[in-house]
Amino acid sequence: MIVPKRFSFGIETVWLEERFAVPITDRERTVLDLFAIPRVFGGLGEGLSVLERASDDIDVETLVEYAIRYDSIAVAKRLGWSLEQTAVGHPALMRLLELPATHCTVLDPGRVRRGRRDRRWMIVDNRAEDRV
Amino acid sequence: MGCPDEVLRLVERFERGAAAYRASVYNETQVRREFIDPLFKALGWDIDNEAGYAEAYKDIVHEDAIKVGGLTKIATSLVSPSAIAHFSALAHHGLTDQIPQVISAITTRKVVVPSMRMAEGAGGSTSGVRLVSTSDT
Repeated sequence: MIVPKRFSFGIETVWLEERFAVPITDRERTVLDLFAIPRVFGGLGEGLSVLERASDDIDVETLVEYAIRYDSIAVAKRLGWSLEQTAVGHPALMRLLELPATHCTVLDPGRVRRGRRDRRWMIVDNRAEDRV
Repeated sequence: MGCPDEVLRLVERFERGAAAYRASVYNETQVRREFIDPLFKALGWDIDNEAGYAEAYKDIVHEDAIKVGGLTKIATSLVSPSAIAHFSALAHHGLTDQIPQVISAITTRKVVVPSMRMAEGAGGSTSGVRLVSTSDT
């Protein structure tokens, strides 16, 4: 995937063998990508599933910091709403909640834009709708 | 790091004769000798073991099963800067039970490889390395 330079953060180095290391997105950046480009992962379901199974292993503060750095209200709101399902009350979520949104964002961009609106997060929960 | 001239020559050569190279009579050995081996040589791999390393240590083992580590090397060697990402990173961090069949990488460089042109609209390539584009936001 070709990404703008401003998206090149959250990358760590992993040594495959003694003489060869590769850069790889770190845990929180990888989780952010689940909500930034859900179609790459087959839809938002994978992201929600990862949060449910591994929320204890994810540094929520770092993830929120990355989401703000990503500079997309849609991604921030989508992630914030999803995090709240698994990390209720984490103070870092307030940073995402307070971001100003002028319109509602669909939870899953790969599905029809219809569903219950969450005015607090400015999210349209379209998980039950058909794929576009 | 810029793209090696030899890689650009290989791409130009492939584009000039694409119809012939995609024909069924152009076999696996030909494509390996004329394109794949020169590509890896241009990227700095010791294809012919000129360094004389023992079996266990040489860069390339011909006709061996491709290992994930090898594909990961290829993915990050094709374009620089780049980083392994998406399902490959999910699997690395133990966040999915699925075993990715391709290595996914992100890059800040604009790259178009022949498989991307051929796979346009088909959802990617089957070469073991995936490069996709655009955002959902």
